Amino acid sequence: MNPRTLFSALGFATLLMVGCGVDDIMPEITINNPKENDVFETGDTIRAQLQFSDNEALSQYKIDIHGNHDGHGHGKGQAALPAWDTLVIGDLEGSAGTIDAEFIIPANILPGPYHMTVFALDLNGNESNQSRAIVFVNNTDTVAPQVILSSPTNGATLSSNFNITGSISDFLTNGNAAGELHQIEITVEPAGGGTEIVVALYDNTDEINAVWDAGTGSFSATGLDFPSNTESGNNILSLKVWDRYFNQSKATVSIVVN
Amino acid sequence: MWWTLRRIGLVLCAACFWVIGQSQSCPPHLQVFDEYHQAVPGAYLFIHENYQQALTDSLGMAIFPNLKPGVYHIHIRSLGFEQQIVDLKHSCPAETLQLALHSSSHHIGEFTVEDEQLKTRLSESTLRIESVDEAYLNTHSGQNFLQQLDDLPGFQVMSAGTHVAKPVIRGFSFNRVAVIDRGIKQEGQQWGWDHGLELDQFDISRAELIRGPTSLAYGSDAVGGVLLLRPPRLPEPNTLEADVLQSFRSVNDLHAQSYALQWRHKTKWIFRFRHSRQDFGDFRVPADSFLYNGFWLPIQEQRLKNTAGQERNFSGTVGYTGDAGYSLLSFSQVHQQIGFFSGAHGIPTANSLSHDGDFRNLDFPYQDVMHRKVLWNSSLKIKESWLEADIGLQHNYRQEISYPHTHGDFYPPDAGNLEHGFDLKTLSWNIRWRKSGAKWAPKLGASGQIQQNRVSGFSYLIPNFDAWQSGLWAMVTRPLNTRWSFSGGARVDFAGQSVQTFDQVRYNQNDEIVDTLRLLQGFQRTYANWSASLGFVYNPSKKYRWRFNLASSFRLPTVPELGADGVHHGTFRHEQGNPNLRSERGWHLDVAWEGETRNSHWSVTPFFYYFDRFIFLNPTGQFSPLSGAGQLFAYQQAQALQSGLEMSFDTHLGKHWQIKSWLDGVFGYNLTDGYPLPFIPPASGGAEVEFHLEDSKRWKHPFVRINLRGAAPQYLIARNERQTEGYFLVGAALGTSFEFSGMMIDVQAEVQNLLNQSYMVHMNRYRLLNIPEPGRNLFLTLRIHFGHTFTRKSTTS
Repeated sequence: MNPRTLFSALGFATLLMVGCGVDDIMPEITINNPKENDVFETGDTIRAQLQFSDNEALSQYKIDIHGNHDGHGHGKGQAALPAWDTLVIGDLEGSAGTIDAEFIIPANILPGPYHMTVFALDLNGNESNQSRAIVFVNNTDTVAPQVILSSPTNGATLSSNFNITGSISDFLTNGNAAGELHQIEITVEPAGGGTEIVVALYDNTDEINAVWDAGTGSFSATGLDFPSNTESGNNILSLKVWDRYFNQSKATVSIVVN
Repeated sequence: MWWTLRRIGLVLCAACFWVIGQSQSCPPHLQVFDEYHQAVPGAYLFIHENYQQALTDSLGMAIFPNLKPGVYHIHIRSLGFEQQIVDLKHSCPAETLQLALHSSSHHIGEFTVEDEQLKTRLSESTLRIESVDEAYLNTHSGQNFLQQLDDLPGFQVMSAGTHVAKPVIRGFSFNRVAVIDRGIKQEGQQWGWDHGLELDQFDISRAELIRGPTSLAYGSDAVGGVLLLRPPRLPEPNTLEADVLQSFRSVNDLHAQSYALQWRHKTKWIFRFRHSRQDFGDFRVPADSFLYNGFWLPIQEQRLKNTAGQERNFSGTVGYTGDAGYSLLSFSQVHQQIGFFSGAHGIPTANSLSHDGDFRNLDFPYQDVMHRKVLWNSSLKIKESWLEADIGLQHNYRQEISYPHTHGDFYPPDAGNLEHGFDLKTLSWNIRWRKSGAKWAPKLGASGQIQQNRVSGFSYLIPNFDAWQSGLWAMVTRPLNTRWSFSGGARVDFAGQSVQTFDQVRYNQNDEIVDTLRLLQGFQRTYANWSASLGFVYNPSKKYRWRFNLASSFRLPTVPELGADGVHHGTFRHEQGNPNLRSERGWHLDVAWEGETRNSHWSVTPFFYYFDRFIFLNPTGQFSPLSGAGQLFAYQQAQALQSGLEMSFDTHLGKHWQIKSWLDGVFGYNLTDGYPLPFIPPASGGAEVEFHLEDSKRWKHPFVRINLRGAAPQYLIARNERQTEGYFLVGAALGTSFEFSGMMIDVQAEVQNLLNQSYMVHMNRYRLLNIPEPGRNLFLTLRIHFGHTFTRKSTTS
C-alpha cells in the first residue's frame, strides 16, 4: 500500500469526524437573588431566584447551601452548633427556565458565612460551571469577643519557649453572660508581609479551657515555640478569637523573632 | 479451578527434578564472523533459556561447555555490529556453527529487541516493538519510572502530581493496558485516576513496549498494548557486584538512594538484593494561583500543598541457572505514602490551601499503598522444546486516609480516618511451551489468575469481590519465503466474577443507626471469550520492512465498571456501575513501515481500531443525590473507533552526533453518540540531539543532550473534559562515566522544563483544577558500580 494513500484516508476520516457537530456546550446560570454578601437572621427566608439556559435542552438543577466557616468544621462535634446544609435537586425543561425557591433558615444553626452553590445539567450530560453566592447568617449574638494582649509587649524580642498572656471576654448581643469560644489561634507573620504561620491552635473545648478561664477572662499560653519556617526579625504576632456564633476579633503586637 | 492448580503443581514438581539433569553432553563450538568473513573477537553470546553466556576468543570462537542437545534461542552482540538472534540447533556429535554479523553504526543498546515472553524477534513480530535498555534509562531522568519512557512514540503518562503515574498506550489507559513485570501482570487498583503504578523505579533496567492488541498472549487487559519490564542483567560467574545510587530532584526537593548487591556463584547460583528509598516535599509549579470555577485560589509559595511523600522499597532474587533451564525466585515490596493535594480532595477552598508551615510533611488526606509480590520464573528443557512458567502472588493494599467530611455525618462511629481500604490479592500463572526449531515454531500457553478484593473504610466505592480467569492459547510463526513470514494464533478464555452485596449503615450525630441503604445487590457473572490474530512481515529489500497485523481481542468488564456506586474523590464524580455490561470486543488493524540505512532508521505505524461494546463512563443529565458528588456518571457500552499513527526517525551524523525524533497522534470517537472518547492525549512529538565524545581510557560515554518536546492543543474532548492548550518544552542533560579505583562512576545532570513553562497535560488529574504541571526540574544523579570477579584456584573442581 502506498503510505500517502493511507495517510490521506486517515486524514479524511479525521475531518469527517470533526465535522459532525455534537453538543458540548454547558448550561448557563444567573443568580438574581440572593445578592452576594446578603445578610439574614435565623428564621428568615432566603429566596433563590435563578435563571437557566442551554443551547439545546436543560435537564436538572441543583441548589446546595452549606456553611463556609473555617473550612475544617465539617467533622462531628467541632462546632458549638451544627452548620446548616440543605440540598435540592429539581427538573428543568426546554432551553431556558427560571426557578424561584424559598429556604427557611432553621433557628438553631451555626451563624456565619454560607455558600449557596447552583449547578445545572443539560440532557446530553454537559455540566455547568458552579455559580455561587456567599450569604451571611446572623444569630442572637453579633458582638465580637474582646481580646487584649498584655504580654509580650510591642517591640519585645522572643525566641523559643515563650509565653502569651492577656484576656478574652465574650458577651451575647443582649449584653448578658459570657459566651463560649469556638476557637483561639495564635499566628505570626513577617512585618513586611508574607505567609501567616500558625503557632498554636485551640479548637475544642478541652484545649480552650486549658488556656482560657471563662469566669475571669484571663488567657495564658505557655511554652510556645515558633515553627521552623518562621522568619526571624520583625514580625506581627496575632491572637485571634472566634466565639461560638463565629464572631471574630484579634489583637496584634509587633515583636522581633530571634 | 482444580485443573489449573494441578497444573501449577506439576510444573513445580518438574522444576524440583530438572536440576538432576541429563548425563550426556558434547559442547557446541560457535564461531562468529563479520560480513568480510573476519573473525569477531569479544562478541557476547547469551542463551535465553538457561541464562548461560560466553565471549568469543581471538579466533571468534566460543564454547558452551555443558550444553545438552536441543534447540536454543541465542543472542549475539558486539560493538559496531547489528545484534542477532538465532535459533541454535545443537545435536551430538557437535559441529562448529558459524554465525555472521553485519556491521552497523546504530547505537541500539545492550540488549536485542524482541518480545521476550514469546521469543519473537523483531524481524518476525507482526507488531512493532519499542524498547529501552539500561543505558537509556540511566541517561534519561524521570519523576517516576513511566516518565522515563515518555519519549517512546505512542506512549504517554497520565499522572496526578509527581509520584502517581499510569501508562497510556495509543490513548488506551486504566484497564486497557497491561504492565507485565517479569512475566506477571501487575495487579493493583488500575481503574482509579489517581492510583499509580507501584514499582521501584531503580529496579527496572529494561522495558519493551508493544503497542496494539496483545490479548492473545497477555490476556484481557492487553487490548491497547503491553509494557514488559525486565530485571537487571545477571552478573558474570563468580562475580560480586555492588551498585549505589544517589539522586536529587529540585522540583520537589527529592532525595533518593538505592543500593544493590548481586553475586553469581560459579555459573549456577544467583543472589540479588536491592533497597531503595525516596523522600520528597511538596512540588513546585510556576504559578501563584489557579482559577477554579471562576474563583482564584492561592498556591502559596508556588508549592502544591500536601503533595509530599515517601517511598520505601526492597526486592531480592535467589536463582539457579543450569544447562537445562533456570529457576528464579524473586520477592519485592513497594511502600508509598503520598499526600493528596488539598485542593483535589473535595471542592478546593482558600482555607484548605493555606500553608501549614511545612513543605515536607504528609498531612491529611493521603494515600498509603503497599504492594508485595513473590514471583517464580523458570524454564525447563524437554528434549527439543522448552517449557517456561511464570507464577506470581501479589498483595496490593491501598488505603486512602482522610477526615470524614461528608456533610450528612452519616459515617460509622468507629470508622477512624480510613476513607477507603482496598485489599487485593492476586495469584497469576503464565505457562508456555514452545518448539523453536520446528517448521511452524509452535507455541502453546496457559495463563490465568485468581483474585480476591476486600474493601473497608467509611465511604463506599467498590464492592468485595472474587474473580478468576483462565485462558489457553496457541501461536505459530513461519517464514513463507525469503520475503514473507507469517504469524498467527488464537486464544480461548473463561472467567468469572462473584460480587458481594453491600449495605451501608448510616448513623446520626449521636452515633445511632438511622437506616441501612443497599448500595449494591451482589451478583455472579461468567464469561467465555476468544481472541485471534493474523499477521505478516514483508521484507521487500534489506532497506525496508512492512508489518501487517489483524486481530480481534476482548476485555472483561472490571468489577468497578460493574459494581461501583459512590463518589470517587479522585475524580469528584459519582460513578455508577452497570452489572449488565458484556465483554468489550475490539477489531484491530496495524501496519508498520520501517526503513533502515547504515546511519538512519525510521518507522511509520498507522493503526485503526474498532470496538463493539466499548465500555465508558457516560455523563448523565442527572445529579447524584449524594452531597458534594455533582453529576452522575454511569458505565455504558457503545461502538467506538480509535485510530492514529506514530512516526520515528533516528540518525547518526558522523561519529559524534545522534538525533532521535518522534511524533504521535490518536483520536477516538464514540460512534453511538458522536462524542470524542475521554482521556485521549493530544498529538505530540519530540526530538533529542545528542553529542557524544569517543571513550578514552578513563572517560566513558561522555555526552551532552538537548531535548525538545511538545504537544498540540486538545480540542477533541469528551463531555465535561476541558479543552487544553498545547505546550513546548526544552530540556538538557550532560553526563559521563569514569573509572576510579576499580569502580565505574556515572555522574549526570539533567534539567527538564528548562524555561519553567506553565503548561497543562490534558489527561492529568490536576488538569480539571487548572493547575499547571511541575516547573523547572534539575535532576542530579550519582551512580557507583563496583564489580569483582573471584578467580578460582586450580585445585578446586
